[in-house]
Amino acid sequence: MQEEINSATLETLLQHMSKDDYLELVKEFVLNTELQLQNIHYNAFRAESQAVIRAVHSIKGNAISLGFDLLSHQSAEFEKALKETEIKTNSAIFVQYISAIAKSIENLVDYFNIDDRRRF
Amino acid sequence: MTDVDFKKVLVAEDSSVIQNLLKKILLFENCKITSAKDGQSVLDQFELEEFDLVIMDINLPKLDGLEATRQIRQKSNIPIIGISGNAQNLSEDIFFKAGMNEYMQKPLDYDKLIEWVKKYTS
Repeated sequence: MQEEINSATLETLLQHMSKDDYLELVKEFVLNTELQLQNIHYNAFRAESQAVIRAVHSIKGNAISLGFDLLSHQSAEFEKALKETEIKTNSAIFVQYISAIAKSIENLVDYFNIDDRRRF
Repeated sequence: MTDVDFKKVLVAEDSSVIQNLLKKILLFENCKITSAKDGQSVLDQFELEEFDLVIMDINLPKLDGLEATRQIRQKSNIPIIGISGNAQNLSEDIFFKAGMNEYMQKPLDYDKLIEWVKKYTS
């Protein structure tokens, strides 16, 4: 998991905020990304491709800002694929990207021990 | 510490995660943050109160950060720092021509951003 996080970004952030502050942001990010994944499914079924791209773009920007480089990279690849071609929601590639992002989120939840996130 | 000691910063950013991240970082620098989620809200907030600095995302809903900057520049010389996750291959000139004092692409260089905040609010 550690290789999925940019240690330099994390170190810089912790110079400017407490660890608790950072963990609060991670919890917010996890909840936000789960909502974005729901938005992606909702809008993809309605062929609202721009809304799907915006949601993926948002995950990418949030992830890189908190130092989650792998998740940001996965989102960037997904965004690129969405812009290059029409991807059907039941296609293998769509499921593959969504699953990869969801898996990364679960890894973050485990790594930061934030199973209580649904209370927020 | 009283409000007088704080610098007032308007953060225009549609991501609540990045809004809160900037809030936490800038609170360490004695800044009081007001958030706006779209370009029109920036202009509305700007009418309501005075700020020392604006941090403006480019990709904002309703009214983008460049247009919001142009409209602010018609009435104010307030320092504006532009940030963007996707410059859409625009040249940096466009940001400065719109009236931004500085421009930074995401991922943000937090040390540099704080340096600019100190520079423009001191």
